[in-house]
Amino acid sequence: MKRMSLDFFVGVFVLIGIICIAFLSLRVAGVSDFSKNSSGTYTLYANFNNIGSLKVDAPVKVSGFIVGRVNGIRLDPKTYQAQVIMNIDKDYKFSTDASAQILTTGLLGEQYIGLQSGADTQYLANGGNIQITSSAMVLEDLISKFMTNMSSK
Amino acid sequence: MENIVSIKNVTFGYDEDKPILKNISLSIPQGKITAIMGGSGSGKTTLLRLISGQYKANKGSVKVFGQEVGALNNREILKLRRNCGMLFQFGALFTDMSVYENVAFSLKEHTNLPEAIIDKIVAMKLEAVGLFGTQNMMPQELSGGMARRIALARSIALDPKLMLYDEPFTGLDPISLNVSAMLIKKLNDALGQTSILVTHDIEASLKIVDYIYFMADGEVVAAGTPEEVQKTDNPIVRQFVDGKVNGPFSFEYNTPLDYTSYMGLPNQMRGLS
Amino acid sequence: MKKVYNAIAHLGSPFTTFILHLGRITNLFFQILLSLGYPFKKFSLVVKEIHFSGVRSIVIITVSGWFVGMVLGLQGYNTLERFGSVSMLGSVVALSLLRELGPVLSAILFASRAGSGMTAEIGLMKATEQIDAMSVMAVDPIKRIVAPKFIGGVIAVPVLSLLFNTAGIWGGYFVGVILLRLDKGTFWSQMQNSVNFHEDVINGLIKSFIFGIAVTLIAVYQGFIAKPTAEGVSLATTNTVVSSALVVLALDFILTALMF
Repeated sequence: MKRMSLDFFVGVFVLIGIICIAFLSLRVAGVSDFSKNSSGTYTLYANFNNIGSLKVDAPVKVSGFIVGRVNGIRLDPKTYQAQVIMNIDKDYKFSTDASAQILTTGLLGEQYIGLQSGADTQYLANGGNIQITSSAMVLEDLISKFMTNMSSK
Repeated sequence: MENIVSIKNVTFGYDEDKPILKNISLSIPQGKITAIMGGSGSGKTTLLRLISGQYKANKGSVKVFGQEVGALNNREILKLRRNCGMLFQFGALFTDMSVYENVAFSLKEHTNLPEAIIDKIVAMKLEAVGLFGTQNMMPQELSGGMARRIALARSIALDPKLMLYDEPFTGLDPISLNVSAMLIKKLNDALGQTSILVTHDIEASLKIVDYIYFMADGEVVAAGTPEEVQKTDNPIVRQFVDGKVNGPFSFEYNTPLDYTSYMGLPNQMRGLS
Repeated sequence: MKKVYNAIAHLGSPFTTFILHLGRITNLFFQILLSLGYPFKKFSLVVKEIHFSGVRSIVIITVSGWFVGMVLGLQGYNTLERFGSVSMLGSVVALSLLRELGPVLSAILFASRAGSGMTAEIGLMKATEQIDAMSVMAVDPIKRIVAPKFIGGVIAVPVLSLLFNTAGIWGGYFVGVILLRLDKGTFWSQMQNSVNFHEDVINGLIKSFIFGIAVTLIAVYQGFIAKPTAEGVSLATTNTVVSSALVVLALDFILTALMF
């Protein structure tokens, strides 16, 4: 009887541990199914002149809704552009003239990629390249542009 | 007659400069109860620990069952200990286990016997010390004498060939004391054991032992059968047997300080004499 | 001259004692690793230890976690308010807990609640010759007593730190959303945006796993070296709590530098 209750409480203890890690992963870290398992995703590429401080695992959003995550960032040795590899949920298709933009949450927040679908009826396949991109806004560039505008006036 | 334990010219000390045992030799014959006696701090318990392999001698040879204890590795010492039972001064029962679990401890650790058989063996061992029925009690609920007997039942669980008793009579009332002495004798004869009894209780041991070694300051100072001991003129043994205050052993601490001059007193006699 | 020499030797002695303890504790660690097979055979011993060190610490861990989370919520709110970014409160609370406070505080609480108990138990078993009795009965005390405690502690500490984090995040939620009336959705979504499962949750778990090893090791070691007297055992339990706290904080610095 005493052994039984001991085992029972230790079982409860382990259960608490499992519930806590489930809470921490789902509610706190916001792990959603497609970001980790690669079977339900396909890959898209996009080249940017400047990615600012975009990081691996940053979200890819359409109209503010997360459809995928950045899987890798590397430098194209020929063009010296940054190539971003994105894992996108299979449920969402993008036309060949879709555009990608590096955006910032709030003024100083994290950077993410915003996608906009175009009008073409052809869809990008796995490994497709997004042609139309606009780079991250860099504060220094903005300020210097503003300064030259001011002085030229 | 075969010697189960033989100790030759053994010197031991935690510190090389302060030996606790000085060049000791003694032998324990099979099937007998041998007592090792001496005052507190004479090195008796240390000797017991050398035999059970808890310590290793600095010099000399300690042979148990014909094996040189100092030369054994840990695994061999553990093997040797399965043939030894040891009763500690205050029993040393595992306080977080019931009486049953205490007695069953080495059976569960060293054998694969089914629970039902272990249960029967535990009952037999408890009956042997007259405490059958205490299985579900916890050590805190036992009196000192009972705890000692439970510990005895625990140490004979695997039917050891050699029993080591470390001060089995300390702190017992006269009845429990005689019960313990009687049990030691009975178990030794019934199970064909060899027993070593480290004690300073002269009366109880004279009744049950076959041979006595007297130790003082880490040396064997006298030895003999109980009859010889009772008749001897050896002043150390006499003082011990008769419990005299004065004799070769002084109850006063041996200090280089002189009490008379320390207190600034003129020619005062020191102590009680 | 002799005096000067002694003074220098005296200055060095804490360092040499430290090295000595480090050597002995490493030795004990390897002895434990070698005897880990035994407690897995007799898993009921481990269950008992998890009950002692884990289950009985649930209340203290939950309550402390809850309060730490509430304090983080209040302080975070006061600081973030100056920059007009109170929406970040959720991620501030979650990140501070998951990365640092959760593993560190739960390990220190574990040391004072369960570690000191382990030390006292082993110290008293030694003082009452129970350890000697066991080894004379040809049972290795490291296998029978220490290894189950070790596994129990190493399992309990990460679970407790998960519990601490969870309680803390709800404490922060309580202050932020219920008392200070922040938006519930922002609280959680900001948290989810900045907390990464691998980097934050898993790294925090790895930390508390390592702290679990360190604290349990210190606790059983102190039990073994305790002098077999009432004073010796009480000193050893104090030493367990103090040195565990120091070791956990030092290890935390090293691990943070390596991980983040």
